[in-house]
Amino acid sequence: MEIISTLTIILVAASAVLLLFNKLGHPAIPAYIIAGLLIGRFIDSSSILELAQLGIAFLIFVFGLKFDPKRLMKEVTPGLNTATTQILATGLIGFVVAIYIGFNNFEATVFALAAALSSSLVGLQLGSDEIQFEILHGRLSETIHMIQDILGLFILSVIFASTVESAVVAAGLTVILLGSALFIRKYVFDYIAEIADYDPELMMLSGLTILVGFIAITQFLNLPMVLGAFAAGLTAAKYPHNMELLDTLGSIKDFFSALFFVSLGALVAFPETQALITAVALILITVVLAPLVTYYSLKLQGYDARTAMLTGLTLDQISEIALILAITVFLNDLITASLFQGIILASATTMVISSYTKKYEEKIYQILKPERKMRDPVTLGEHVILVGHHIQGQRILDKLLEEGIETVVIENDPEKVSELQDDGIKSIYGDVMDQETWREANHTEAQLIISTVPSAKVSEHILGLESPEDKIVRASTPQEAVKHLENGALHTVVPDISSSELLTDHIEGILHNDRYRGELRRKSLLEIREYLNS
Amino acid sequence: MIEAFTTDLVLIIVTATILSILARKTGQPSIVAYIFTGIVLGPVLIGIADDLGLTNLIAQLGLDFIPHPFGAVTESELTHLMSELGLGFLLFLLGIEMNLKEIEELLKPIANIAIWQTVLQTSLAFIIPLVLGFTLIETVVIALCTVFGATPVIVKLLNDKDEINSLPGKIDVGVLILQDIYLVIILALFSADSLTNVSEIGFQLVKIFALIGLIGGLSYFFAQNLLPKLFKRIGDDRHAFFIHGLAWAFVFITISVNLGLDIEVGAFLAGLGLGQMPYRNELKERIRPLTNFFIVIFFSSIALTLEPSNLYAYWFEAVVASVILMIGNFSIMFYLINRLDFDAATSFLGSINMTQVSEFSLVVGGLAVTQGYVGNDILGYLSLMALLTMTSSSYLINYNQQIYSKVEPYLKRFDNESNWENSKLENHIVVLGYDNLARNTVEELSSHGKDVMIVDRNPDNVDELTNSKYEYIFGDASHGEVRKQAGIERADIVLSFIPELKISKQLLESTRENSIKIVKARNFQQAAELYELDADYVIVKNLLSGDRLGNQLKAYFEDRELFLEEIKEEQEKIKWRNEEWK
Repeated sequence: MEIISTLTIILVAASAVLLLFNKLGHPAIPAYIIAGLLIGRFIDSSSILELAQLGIAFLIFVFGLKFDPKRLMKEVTPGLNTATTQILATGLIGFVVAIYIGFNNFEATVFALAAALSSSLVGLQLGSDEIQFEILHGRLSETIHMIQDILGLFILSVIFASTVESAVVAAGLTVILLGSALFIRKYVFDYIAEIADYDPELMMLSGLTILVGFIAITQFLNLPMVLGAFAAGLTAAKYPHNMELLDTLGSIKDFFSALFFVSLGALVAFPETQALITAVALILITVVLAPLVTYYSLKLQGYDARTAMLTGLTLDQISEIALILAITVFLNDLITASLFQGIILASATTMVISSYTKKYEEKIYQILKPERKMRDPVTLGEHVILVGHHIQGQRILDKLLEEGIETVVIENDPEKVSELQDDGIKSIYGDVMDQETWREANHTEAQLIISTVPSAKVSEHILGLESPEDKIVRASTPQEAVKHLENGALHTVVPDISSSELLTDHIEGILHNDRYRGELRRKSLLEIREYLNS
Repeated sequence: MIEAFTTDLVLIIVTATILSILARKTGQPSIVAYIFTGIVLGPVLIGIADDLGLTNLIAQLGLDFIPHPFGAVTESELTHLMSELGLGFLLFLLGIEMNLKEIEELLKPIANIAIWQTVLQTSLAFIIPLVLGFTLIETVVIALCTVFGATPVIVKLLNDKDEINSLPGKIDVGVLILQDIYLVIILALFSADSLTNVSEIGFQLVKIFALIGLIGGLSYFFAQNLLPKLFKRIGDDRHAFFIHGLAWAFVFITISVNLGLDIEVGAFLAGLGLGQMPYRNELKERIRPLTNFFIVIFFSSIALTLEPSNLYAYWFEAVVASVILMIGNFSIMFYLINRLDFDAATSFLGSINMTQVSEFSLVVGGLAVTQGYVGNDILGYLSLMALLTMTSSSYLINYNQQIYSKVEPYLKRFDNESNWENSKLENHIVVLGYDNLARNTVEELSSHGKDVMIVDRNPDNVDELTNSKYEYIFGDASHGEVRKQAGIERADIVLSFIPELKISKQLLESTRENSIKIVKARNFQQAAELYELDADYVIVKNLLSGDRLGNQLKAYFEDRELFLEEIKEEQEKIKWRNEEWK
């Protein structure tokens, strides 16, 4: 069957490029697009377009599944401000540039949207560590991404409306649709899950039914299919069901979305000149302008330069939603081939660039950072400088204060700094890699530096300081630890090793002593509640 | 607008879901539901309604304007493609599951049983249709179709009942595996171009064996030599893993198709190559949902082609044949297992699981129809047999233990002194995630005399853990199947070092009430949540180490010498760990 050979070529190409990209640390989506670019002339991509479109449905469905409104609330005000500013700024400039290149109004709007919306899948994938560790710029970037995606979906729903009236109707219907999805999620979905009896096969079928159901509704209401897919995902976005659904539908989505992105690339096999110009323009706006606007917006809201810049750098790619938008309008003959190709090319390029900016974000920051205002150093002597006030730092600070030791805390999370200052503890809001910060902390007169930051770069930097002599730094692995010890650390904390001793003791205790088990649980829970309430 | 799902696909999905839920409630396997989906949406019900005069009645009552899906569905191209892929993926999965090592110790008795069973059952399956009046060709086709075991169904049911690692379970799985090979050969034979006389059949068989040997060998060779390096490179990226696996499967499918064999054969052989690697569990779990999706469509579309006359044609024969076959199959298996010195319980349970006609009978039957050997009425006959035997046998499998306890006294005379042991893990320690903390801790724990089962998904640990004294599964603990395999529900201690909150929550929900549960959290918030879910202790790594340093610092400020001594010990340990790693 011819389609089998087509699928084989696609999968092998995708596999090969993925392998290459994996070594370089790039995300998967641009790998697929590039694979498509390479094999475009050998396959007839229209034959698998049907299969590929399923990719869009599943992609957006899974996005809806993972959508947690609570996470959105975390940094919602700065997120909203920044996202809106960035979209408006890049959108307007994008529009103007597009007109200049020669596109009509509608095409210019599409161009502007591509410039304004930043990818959540790729951006979030790259930043997953920060988000999991709840580091500030990770949270900010996650919120901004989510807001942009919702906005993107709304725009998708109204873009086909030919009059203002129908646009309003479309927007209204969208709200109703999403509202009902949330309603079902809250009140009905548990019941559905019970019927499905937690059987993975049944869950998959139920998930699929919800998906096709919502898509059918959107087609009936003349709204775009992706909206239905998103609403369907929202319906089931409840733990633990969404995990089970992800378990089962995740690989289905992987399969079809891989096909989708490869087909996208394949459609661009022979780009025209105007396409290349478009691509370059988009790339410049996305990679330079968007992060810049984000940076200034965050700085104006009071964040430090590093957080602002690192957040901005996560927004330097083009969103999958823009891609879906592009292929939708292209298949409906609303834009020219060159614009379409330009967007695809720019998207793949920016996603790759994005993985590099992520990798070298520290260096970029160091090069670009602004001059810091000089502040007076703290007037202390023989004090301890503690870097980082997360779990480990908190514990250590407590012990130090118990012993009555003068401590200065260096932190780059403005919230934590103000909390500390409220508690009467001397704290410095600054960047550890910055010499200014150390001067302010008066490190030459300090007795000891303790660093809880899990970054080898930070530890090395600290060990490079002339004084004080005593420095205790953190290491993630024994190798790192040994290196730090060789570079002059007084001691290193390797959480894995120091914890295991204590943990083994606990387990032995539980095994041999019935009361130990209950006691341990009670005590630990008490401690934790104390921390949470303080 | 982009139209992602075609109408027939939508109808199939929705109907299949509703029927599956019904099937679940009545304890039936989902395959039955899928076949019924095709029947409901195809011409059959409409035909029956017509014959019974219902259609006329409805028209007379003026109700015929109500839209309904019955008889409405004709297969679109997309659907057809998906059902083809479905079968391919199913066989790919079967190939991956063929891990010979797991049945190694039982290989000889299993081979013995499998071969004799095929011979005896084929004879039985041959006699029945002949007696019932079918032609010779029809009889041959029927006999060949009805001998395979329903591997996916039986494996799934056994897995759900957690009996797959029991002795009868292992025997059944082993026999099914060997039958799958038989199936693949039959499939290849039936898809060959012309089989008009005996010498051609012989020639085809030789060609098939040769090709299977060649492709199978290629698959195995590359899997052993090339793939491990490849998969190591990929590291933790499950996504890439999946795509590579698929690419591998498709390459072999293409080779196989171009050499004249069918999609399924290539897929099976591709899976076979992968089946010997430790990564197969992970790959299996990722491919399974995709397979399930396509399979729904596959079985629905087979039934879609059935006309009511096909089902009527031989319904009486189907009932008779089904009853005789079920009793016959059971007896044959029982006799074969028992005479190899397995005890009565094993023989009984091993046999009662294997009484049905496989869904593959429909596959081979469909193929036979396409090639023109038999008509659609035989397909109808086979469908009826499959449906009848599957529905009854699923009850038998689900209640196999209860039935056994009822008949136990009558089977005393079949009991043998058995040297075969049951090797299910029970009351053991399950460790999930194998980071440095885990490594240090597990070493200490293993001296307590309990079995240790480690589940880990980091390819870097594969060598170490495969050669260790622990039981080991390479897989992701977020998959329900993996947790089942590790025996979490039977474990005494569950120790998880995986920091993801969602996985920790899933674990806490799937453990035994009184087992010791220790999980990990990244921060206090998460820890509190996990304690609410009944965790005995939550590891907050940085908490522990922070405490440790805090205590050590006391010495720093009071007695520097003492401090230096204390940290010296710890630093020795760090250096030693570092040496180990080099």
